[in-house]
Amino acid sequence: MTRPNEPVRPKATAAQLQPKPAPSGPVAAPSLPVIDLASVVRTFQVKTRLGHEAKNVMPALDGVSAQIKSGQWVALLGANGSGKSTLLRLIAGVDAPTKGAVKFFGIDASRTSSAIRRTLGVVFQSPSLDPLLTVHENLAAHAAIFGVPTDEINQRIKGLAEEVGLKARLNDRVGTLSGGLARRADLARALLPEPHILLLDEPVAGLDAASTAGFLDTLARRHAPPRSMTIVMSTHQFEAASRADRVMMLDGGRLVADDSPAALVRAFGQRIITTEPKGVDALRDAGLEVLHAPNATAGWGTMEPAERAAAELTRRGIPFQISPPTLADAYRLRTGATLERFHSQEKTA
Amino acid sequence: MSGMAACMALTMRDLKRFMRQPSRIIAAIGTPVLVWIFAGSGLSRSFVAPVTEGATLASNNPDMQYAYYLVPGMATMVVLFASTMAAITLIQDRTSGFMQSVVAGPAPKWAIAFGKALPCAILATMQGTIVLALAWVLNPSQALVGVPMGIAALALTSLGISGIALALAARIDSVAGFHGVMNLVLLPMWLLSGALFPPEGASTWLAWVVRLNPMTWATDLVGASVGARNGAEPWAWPGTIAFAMLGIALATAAVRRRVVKDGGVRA
Repeated sequence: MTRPNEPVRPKATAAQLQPKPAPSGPVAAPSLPVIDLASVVRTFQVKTRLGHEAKNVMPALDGVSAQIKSGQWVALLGANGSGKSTLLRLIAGVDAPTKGAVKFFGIDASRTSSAIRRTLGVVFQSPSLDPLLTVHENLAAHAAIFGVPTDEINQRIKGLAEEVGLKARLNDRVGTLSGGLARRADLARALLPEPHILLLDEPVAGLDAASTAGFLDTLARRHAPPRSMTIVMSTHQFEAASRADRVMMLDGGRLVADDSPAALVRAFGQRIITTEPKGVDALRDAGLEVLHAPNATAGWGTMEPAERAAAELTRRGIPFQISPPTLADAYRLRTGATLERFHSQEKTA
Repeated sequence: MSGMAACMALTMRDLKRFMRQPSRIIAAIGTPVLVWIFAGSGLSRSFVAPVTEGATLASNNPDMQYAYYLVPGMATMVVLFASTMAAITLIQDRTSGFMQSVVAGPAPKWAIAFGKALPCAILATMQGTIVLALAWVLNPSQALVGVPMGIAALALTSLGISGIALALAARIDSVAGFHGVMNLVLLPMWLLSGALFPPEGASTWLAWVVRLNPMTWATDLVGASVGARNGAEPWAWPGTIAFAMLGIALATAAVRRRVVKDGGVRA
């Protein structure tokens, strides 16, 4: 398996990338962990041009440990190739870790019983509905595969179609739906068995703003009491990740941050200044925390030192941008991602 | 019972898919008829078909005699190709993402394997039965009593072939590669089944290969059911049943291996 481009890592020190401790966000643990990741490593052998498997292996995940508790909405945030889809596949039980353990209710995820797997709904990145069948036929087939009682299938399909806005298209073939509608149909498929846990791999990738908002609203309704559905969603879109209770940032297969979106942002103070490399002294002199890497120079902190740094940069005629920190900033500073990559992702969002 | 429900859901899905692809329907009906007509009439003078006891053909024309001899072999050939073609849907299901969602669900792996093999077998058996019906065009006096046995032999054989084809399709990522491997394995099996010419006169080792070949058992069982063969080996029925079970076992193992050991069903 080939992997997309490795994220570019600037040579920033670990101390530079460690923001000040922040108070916990709304990640309160309602109960026991339903998903337990213990030092998970997943490597893939690299095939050569002639198709032979090389001896060196490429780590898609490198020692990820975390616990996800019932009722949490977790976003796995990362760029392409960061390992988030691989992690989701491991949790879904369609892949097994090379080292470490992925446990689902305390049981190896790839060996869970049918009863446990029935509590799991999965929306993979590739659409899993058949374009030759109608929406209703697709949903009915999946309902049977997931063990939904026959006498409840039609009722559940109607209810879900209404919830996701597909009622008028139930008898249309999936191949005739737009990308956004097909995605919603895929969500309805995953929700049919009334799962306690929903796994979604890049659910809003490629959707327009309205479709994205509608999709995330549906997830929010499911996540809210009384259902309190546990949701684990991979995404590279900051807007989508900010809707979650908890964001796990992945970079190069490693978990680099894990907290609520608010806490991740708060850790970078009240203002963040992005400037040119020659402005680093002004940031440091003002008392800001600084990231100074070949492709990113930024400083962050409270309002007062940020204003001092801004004034000094203005005096020296060095261009800069100052703004309240966002989740995108938090991701960029935690991973050392290039500004170009950061901006391209922001545009996608 | 959820296993059976999942199996039937997968089966119905594949049958619906088949019915919504007109090109597959045309190919399914047209291929066996064309093969039989061309092989039966065009090649008849190259072979001398053995006399079958009790067969009273509609015509004494040698073309008709050879065409009659060809019927069971054409039926098994159609089953062979139809089963492998249907198994390609597994590669499509893997690349489209459908199979990932099924594998992540609670359905037992045997139900997934059987649910994919069964529609392959149903479609293949239906096509084989069309060819089998041609026996009555040539020999209207043929008793119908043997028909269910002939269809049963075709169904079991197609289940076995479908299972093997699915086991291969679970490991091969390209349709072209799949075809290559299938032709390498299954085409020689069919050629060594006495489908085109009687195996009598073959060297000793080849004669044993022919006798132990599951396609020979199927061809002889189908042939005996329509009076185009004198009989089959005593182990033909148990062997054919075992072949079907082996196919399902291989497909189940392939689905399980793909999930647990080989890193999941990948796109």
